[in-house]
Amino acid sequence: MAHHPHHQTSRGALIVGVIVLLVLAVLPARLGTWVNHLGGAASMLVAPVASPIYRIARVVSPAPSSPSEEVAVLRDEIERWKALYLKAIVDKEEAERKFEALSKGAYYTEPPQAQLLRPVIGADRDGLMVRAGSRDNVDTNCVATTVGVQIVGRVSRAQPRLCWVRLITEHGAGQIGGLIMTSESVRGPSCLLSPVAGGKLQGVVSTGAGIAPPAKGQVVRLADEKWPRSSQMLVVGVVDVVQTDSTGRSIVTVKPTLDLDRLGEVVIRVSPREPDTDKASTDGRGP
Amino acid sequence: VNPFPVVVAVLGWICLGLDVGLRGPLSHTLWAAPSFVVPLAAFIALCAAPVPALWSALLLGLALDLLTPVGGGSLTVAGPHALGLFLAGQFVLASRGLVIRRHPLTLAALSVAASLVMTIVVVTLFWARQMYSPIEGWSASAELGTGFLSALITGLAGLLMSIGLLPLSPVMGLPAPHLRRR
Repeated sequence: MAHHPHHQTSRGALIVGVIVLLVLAVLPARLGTWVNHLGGAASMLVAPVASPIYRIARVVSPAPSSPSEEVAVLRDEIERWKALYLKAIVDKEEAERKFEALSKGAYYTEPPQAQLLRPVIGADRDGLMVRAGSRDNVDTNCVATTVGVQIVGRVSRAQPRLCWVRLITEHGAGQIGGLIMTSESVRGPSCLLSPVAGGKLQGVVSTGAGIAPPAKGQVVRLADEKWPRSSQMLVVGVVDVVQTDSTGRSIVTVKPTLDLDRLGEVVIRVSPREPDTDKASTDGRGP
Repeated sequence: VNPFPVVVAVLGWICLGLDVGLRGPLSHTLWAAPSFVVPLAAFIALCAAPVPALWSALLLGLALDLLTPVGGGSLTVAGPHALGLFLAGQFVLASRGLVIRRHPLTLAALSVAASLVMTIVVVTLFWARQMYSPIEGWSASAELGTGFLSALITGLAGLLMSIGLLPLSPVMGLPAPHLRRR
């Protein structure tokens, strides 16, 4: 059967298209960075469909491996932190003085340049896709938190209108330094936490003479010089399990106060770029 | 005016949105998420002429590539899904003479097969890339496992989509299957 010339042209173009895509598919990463921009544009294009679907699915789908008791405990935790947050607003001046006094020494906090409350429009195994980008001064130095004080993660990539937040609990997010609070205002031992299965973090506690050992339920706050100063002392999570290894060291498992995979919106804390964090953040990974 | 490209573009846009929107929540719940783009490509390959069907598969796959960054979201590679879906389309084209095109289970079964073909191609290409341009945290076995599970769930998505797609085929500008004899 004779083929129509138009069909032959179209078939030829198809073969060329396949060859071009084959070349693009095997192109080394350093030569294909321009494709990332197209990816950002494509994400924006499908956002009107993806965003509502994501919100509905997030509400409808049951929490993974979260029995109802755990959900109830988490909700209690949320309420407890809300109460603490409101109390902190009411007693703002007194709390600031108290906090400053406690912060003298190794760590201090400064407010971020701006805080952007933005919706999460999607997620994949690499983290949350948030509708805030380089047009809003969001870059890889920025930290994402919940509306409260729970750290969600760090921006790993920023497009003009979108950014991707790598959760602190994801494998590959790197280690994060924490300070275990033995009470609401008393600092306890420090620890270096790494992500483990189940959306938790685990690490060895650096205890010393006169420092109380960690206990379940204690709050762990960020104390890591590789993170922006404005994020220091934000909440990493609460101590869930305390174990002791054969050498007598305490190993804590820390659980975030919220299920970080299922957030509907996050606060992006835009911080001034700090020279000492540039290196840690440009590779898109956490400290 | 041929409505075929417009209808494919609109349906593709919706299916891509569904893929992106459901990928996160369902991956955490079911370990894998269904693809709605694959059943759409399979449906087009089931009904349309070969060249337009393959073009549709190629472009839908390219869109999937752009929406599926790897390596912690830092790298977007154009090509693997496009080539995978292209071969999957070719597979459906080769199989369509052997199946009952208007049966919903046909689309479901071909969606599973097409999804498997696409997964194998995508994993093979990324595996080859690992030799000279490694992606941190990428594992062929994990991707294959997730892909195979996703293919099974995609079959269910294909079954559900067939309910809406099969009656729409004349409206979409695709030739009615019973008129197409090879």
